[in-house]
Amino acid sequence: MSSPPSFKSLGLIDPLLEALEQVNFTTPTEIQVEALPHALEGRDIIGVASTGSGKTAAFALPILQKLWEDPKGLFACVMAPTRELAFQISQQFESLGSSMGVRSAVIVGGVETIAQSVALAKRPHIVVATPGRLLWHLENTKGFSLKGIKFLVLDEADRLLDMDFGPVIDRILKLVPTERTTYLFSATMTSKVAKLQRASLSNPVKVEVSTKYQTVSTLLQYYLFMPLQDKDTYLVSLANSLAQNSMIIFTRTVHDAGRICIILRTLGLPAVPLHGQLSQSQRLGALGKFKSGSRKVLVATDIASRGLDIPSVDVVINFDIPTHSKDYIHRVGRTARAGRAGKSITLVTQYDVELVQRIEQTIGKQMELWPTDPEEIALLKERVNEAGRVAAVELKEQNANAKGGGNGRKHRRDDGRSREDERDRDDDVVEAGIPTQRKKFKSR
Amino acid sequence: MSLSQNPTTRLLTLLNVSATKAGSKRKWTDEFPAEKLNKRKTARFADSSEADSAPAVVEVVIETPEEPMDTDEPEAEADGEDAYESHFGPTPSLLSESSRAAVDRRAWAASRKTYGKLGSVVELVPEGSQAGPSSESAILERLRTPFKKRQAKQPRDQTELQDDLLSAISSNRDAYLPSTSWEHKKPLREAISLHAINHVTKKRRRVLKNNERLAHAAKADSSASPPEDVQDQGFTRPSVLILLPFRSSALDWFTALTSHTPAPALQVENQSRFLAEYGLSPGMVDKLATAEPGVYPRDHVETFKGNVDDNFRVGVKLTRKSVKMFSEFYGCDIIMASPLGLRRSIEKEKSADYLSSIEVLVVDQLEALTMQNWEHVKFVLSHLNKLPKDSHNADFSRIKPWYLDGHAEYLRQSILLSTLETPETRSLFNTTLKNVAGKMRVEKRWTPVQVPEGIDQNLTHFDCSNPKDEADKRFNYFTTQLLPLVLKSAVQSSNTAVFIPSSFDFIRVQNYFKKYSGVSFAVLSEYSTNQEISRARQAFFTGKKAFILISERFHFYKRYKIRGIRNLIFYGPPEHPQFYTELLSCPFLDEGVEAADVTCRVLYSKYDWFRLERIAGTEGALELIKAA
Repeated sequence: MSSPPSFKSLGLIDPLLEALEQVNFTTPTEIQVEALPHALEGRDIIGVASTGSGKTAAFALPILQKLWEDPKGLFACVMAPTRELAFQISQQFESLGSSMGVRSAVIVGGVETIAQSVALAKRPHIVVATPGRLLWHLENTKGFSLKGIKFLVLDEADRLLDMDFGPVIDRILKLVPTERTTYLFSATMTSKVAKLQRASLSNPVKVEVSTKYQTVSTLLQYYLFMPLQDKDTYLVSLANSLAQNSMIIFTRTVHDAGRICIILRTLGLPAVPLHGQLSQSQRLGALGKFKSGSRKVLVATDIASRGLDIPSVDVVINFDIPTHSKDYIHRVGRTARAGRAGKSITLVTQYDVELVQRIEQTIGKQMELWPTDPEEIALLKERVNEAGRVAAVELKEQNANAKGGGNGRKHRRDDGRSREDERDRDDDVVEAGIPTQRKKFKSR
Repeated sequence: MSLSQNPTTRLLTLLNVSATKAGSKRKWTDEFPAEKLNKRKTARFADSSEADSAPAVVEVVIETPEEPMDTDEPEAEADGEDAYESHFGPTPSLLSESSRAAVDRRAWAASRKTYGKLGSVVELVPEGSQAGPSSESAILERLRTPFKKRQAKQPRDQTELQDDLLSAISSNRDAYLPSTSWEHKKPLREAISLHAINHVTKKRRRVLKNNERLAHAAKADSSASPPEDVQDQGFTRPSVLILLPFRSSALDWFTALTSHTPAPALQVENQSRFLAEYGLSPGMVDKLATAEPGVYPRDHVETFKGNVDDNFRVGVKLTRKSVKMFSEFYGCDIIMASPLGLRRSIEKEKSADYLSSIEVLVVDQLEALTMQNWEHVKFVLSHLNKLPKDSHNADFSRIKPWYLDGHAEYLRQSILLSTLETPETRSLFNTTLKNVAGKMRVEKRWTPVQVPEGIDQNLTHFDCSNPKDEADKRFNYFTTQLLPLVLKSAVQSSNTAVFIPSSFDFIRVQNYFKKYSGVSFAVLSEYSTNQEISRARQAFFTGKKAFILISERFHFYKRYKIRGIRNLIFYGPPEHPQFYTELLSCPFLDEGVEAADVTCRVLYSKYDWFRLERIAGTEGALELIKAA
């Protein structure tokens, strides 16, 4: 390659170049360089690139360019596994397409359907949706169809094509025209051909920026080894020592997310929770607070592990070790985005050693030990345990209140919507890749 | 539709029809025989002469045996300038950013015009917009021809009135007629119902035509995307709402509606059920309707004859060949209901989705609605043209864009009818009607009401600079100035009736009398039972009680003649001008009363303008307000 390619040399039209300038995208990222020429040729694309490398723009730009040539309503449909991701993608479309007057609608669960029906009836150019609610509208909203769409995008495609979303995606695919352009994008891609066939690509180009599942080189990965019973204490000491940074703490269960959030708050660290048992407005509110920087700590389940682009995250802490190495890659991909530096720290107990080794094998790197001061841990222990008890009481009260209001946890999830919505579930209801029934949380 | 042929029961004037079943006792005639009531001395009722001369209302149903008009159903579309299409089409030209902003700012350009028989009219158009053209051709040929034929057989005067109104509302702007006379009610009803049916028919034709286009397109090329310019409906089907106070009013409107759908071409389904439920039950005699003219005041008869239940709602579905009463709300075109009936339905179903797509709103008999519960009217109107909570299986590709954008209220046409104007109805007109096509208000100059000769009317003004304090100021003035003055006088402190227009004020004054005044008093309110009423009247007449407090609603609903009055205090001018005359005539029911024996005091402020205007006449009221 003689000179570094620019957006212009990739063949983008002026309105898009203007918009790119406005959002300060100066040079195309690797995936964009690789994918755009094929996309503008009109090929189907399977795009794999590490986290934070500009995948969203890589599929948004060609779609917007084609839309400019042939403007019409319901032009493209983008599917994403979580609601937050859907909102984020929609924002990106609107900011890149602002000079073209692009309208996009977000169709996700947990929001009133009628307003969405109205939004769809206005024929937005881009529909960004989670699969469950999109299918609901396809089947229940009279007069709405995707028969005219030209583009179908599956973001975090491996997640969408796995067993949980599979049947829904299959039904949606039956309702969209076969003559369309399909893009699959993810940081980790499934190799199983069967799954890819579901997406019924025609003669796709595979664009891979990294061959191996990878974490970016600017990310420093550490682990912290400690006995299980002192896990909370180590976390608090860690959070305390990194207090100036903005961080995401990932937990395996909703319960843990709530509990840790309360513990941290009790000890004077302002934290916000983000998990699937909050209402959609609470979720957006929590995310908003964290993004704006008014809260430095986000305690989240795997709902936040994919796709969310929060540039300022400095540290990712894995409170529970993810059972799948893929999930690990997505989680730590929330930091060190777009060339920035970042740290990830994984808490490892005596039971998790094998899992860590597996992850290390996948990413092809060795994690380093995060240094701790045993005296400090010993000092903190009493206070943390106290906070833990407070948290347990508070959680119990919250549950009792929710049930007293005739609104048990189970009920809250459906909101009176059909069961279809249930499939538009979030990643924390069932552990990723393990489509078994929800496990009862076991306290130690 | 008169049900007067059943001579077993007598209906007086109660809200609840069930209370007037054959068994219930009516004391009215026992206490005060009718012939005595007619014994007037010097008093003359302003409208009694009117009532005498009024021609008996005879329902003439003209059945014009016509060719079945179905063949002309796909009638040639007039042209692009059709009033329905230009206002209620998918992209109305009137609906612009600036016109909506002007309406929201309440920036209206006003102009005065004379509109034939409607009289002087104030036209309001959103600033920067043009008044829409009004044309007679807005009415479909199929409906207009039989209407013209029937018009030929009625007095010229009525025909002209109907034509003037139709041309005024054909441009789909709002119309407010706050001073319609009782003679004009029927012709106005017929003209408005013609407009409503015309609206529904045009809408249906557009939908059918588009259905056909879609079917054609699908047949021609099933893979091609269907045509997109088929946006022709709202979220739900009902597009006309008629708000009415009583079941009898619904019956009147039913008559008016079906007069445009003559029998051979169109069948009325469920007619007998409707007549049974909205008329009086068999075996009841409508005392008001059968009474000799002059026994009861005209307005009282017009308002309360027939079934006066105020809790009802009925859906009317219009199809090519039939008018179906009692159809389900989501499958009907016209909803006729009382505010109470709708409110109960909305609260029960927890949604008012069927009001989301109302395009023509008619509110009739506002004067009776204000005497019922104004809150209900406001409640219902606040639920019009809102985004529905459920899709009700609506086809979203057919919904007009301005519904999707939530702009439906800027296009809804409202037609308000009343015999008199109150601040509530004016504020309804001023603040809640947002039609970008503009609105018009008919003006009327009032002449002073007639009162018995020789009575000294003492109109007392009190100062008030803020409408919010008006009630307090009035109460203070009454308790600190007027009442002490009255109590000082030996003559005036007995046989005194206090007439209180507002129910809120009534309760306040009643409590004050209970606590402080130390005089004996009786109470007549709309909640009084028959027993309480007769006791109160008796006690007042015999002088056991020195004061009697009468609420306006009591007089509106019951119209008793109170005997034994020598002194009258109007806490405020009455809403209904004829009440003033009637009450001032009451003292002369008793033998040997001279006009000089009667005193009358009226308390007023500048905020009583509407009421004062009707009593003192427009010019008189102006002077009174200026003089103060």
